Amino acid sequence: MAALVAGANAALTVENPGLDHVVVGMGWDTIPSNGPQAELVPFVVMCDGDGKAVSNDHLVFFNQLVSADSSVTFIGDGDQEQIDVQLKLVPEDVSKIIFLAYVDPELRGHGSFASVRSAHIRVATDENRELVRFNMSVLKLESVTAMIFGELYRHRTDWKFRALGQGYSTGLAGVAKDYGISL
Amino acid sequence: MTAPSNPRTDLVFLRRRIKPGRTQPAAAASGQATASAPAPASAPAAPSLTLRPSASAPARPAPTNAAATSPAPARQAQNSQTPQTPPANTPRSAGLVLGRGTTPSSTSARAQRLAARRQKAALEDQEVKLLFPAPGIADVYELNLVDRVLRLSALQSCVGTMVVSGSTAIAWESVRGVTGGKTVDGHKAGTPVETSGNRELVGYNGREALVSLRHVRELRRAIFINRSSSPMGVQLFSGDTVALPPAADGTQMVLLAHRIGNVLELRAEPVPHDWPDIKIWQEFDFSMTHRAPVSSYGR
Repeated sequence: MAALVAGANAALTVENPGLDHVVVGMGWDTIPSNGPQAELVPFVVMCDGDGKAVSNDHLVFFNQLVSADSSVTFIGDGDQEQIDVQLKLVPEDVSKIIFLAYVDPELRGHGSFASVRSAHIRVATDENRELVRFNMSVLKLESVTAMIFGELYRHRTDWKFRALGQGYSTGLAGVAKDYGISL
Repeated sequence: MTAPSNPRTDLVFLRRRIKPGRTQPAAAASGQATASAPAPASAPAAPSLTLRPSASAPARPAPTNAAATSPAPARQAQNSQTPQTPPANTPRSAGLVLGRGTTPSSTSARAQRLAARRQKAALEDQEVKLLFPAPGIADVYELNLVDRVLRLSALQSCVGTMVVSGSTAIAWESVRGVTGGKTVDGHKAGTPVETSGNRELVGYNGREALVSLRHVRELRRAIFINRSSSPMGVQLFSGDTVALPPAADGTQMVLLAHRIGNVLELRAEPVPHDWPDIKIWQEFDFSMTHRAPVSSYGR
């Protein structure tokens, strides 16, 4: 297991020959509240060579459990969200897969990442052997309403993972604008 | 001192470690060649030392004897034949494994969970594909007797809050059959549905009716009644809106939001203007659920 820092990458398939199936886990703790509390939603975007979402069918989240090509499947349903990626099924036109979480833009006080602690993303084999892990230790999250945890990306014929921890103050709308997602 | 050829097996600390890749030590010791034997499909890679942290829950079952009988090239051949979905129980390597702390069934449990998710998604897709074509919210300005229905996308159906302005009463039914109703003036019936975010699944905030779309999968349907002379309006997180006309010619439009699979469908349903709310509930088969008081629990 390797711990990454923001911006670092790991050569998944080079260091693990034969790896064709990974499970990406995203987790966090939120400070409990009696009132309306921030609800984080894990979200996956499959991007083309220009860094834009291939289509809305290439998004994976709790209300769209499987990508159009069946390569990415959302299997998490709790604090430990998990996304299953079958690397060999990912279409050639997908150059990277973004893993993020946004605070649901609920009108009755949507909150921010300020109430989030111990956020992390990890990549494991399908047998749950952890390959890399990125623990986010980002401060000043009061204005952050969406966060890109990391990305899987192609490097020639291989797959790499990069830890990011990139926050957005514009929430899902900002992410949608950057990645060309049609809301 | 020379080691005995037949070590005692009744004493644990004298038990000889069985080398991986040799299922039949006796046969190997007698000179039988195992490398030329045909490899089974579940052959592992070359023996290796694998250190695994037990805290990170390794979920690989212990290699079986049957799996440990073939050389490494056999697995490559198997991979080339079935590259997409290797069997969940296929061992990746044979050898000494430290930190083996999880149950052997966790890999298959994960595979089952994955298969269940895919099946659920396939069923939902099929359910949505069977629907007749309907316009999206960007295609319709007003839901009325001509344009009766529109359908949201999976993403539109689950982000943020659906705001319905101009309604005077609402009723809802969750997937678990919890049914309730409320008026804009605060009168209540039935049972509210609280979400994990400590908000009502369907409720009023001021004079606007709200549906928490983060929890849309808990919603079966909801209706929005308008007894005012103003139109009703629906707004999504994307900013898209659609209107419903006020009552006219003795007919009022009720907005029905109905979840089908992973999409929400919005319908304008005409009902007589003089029908009370309870009559409308009956027409749409809403039967209010009530919390039984603890005192009624007679045991």
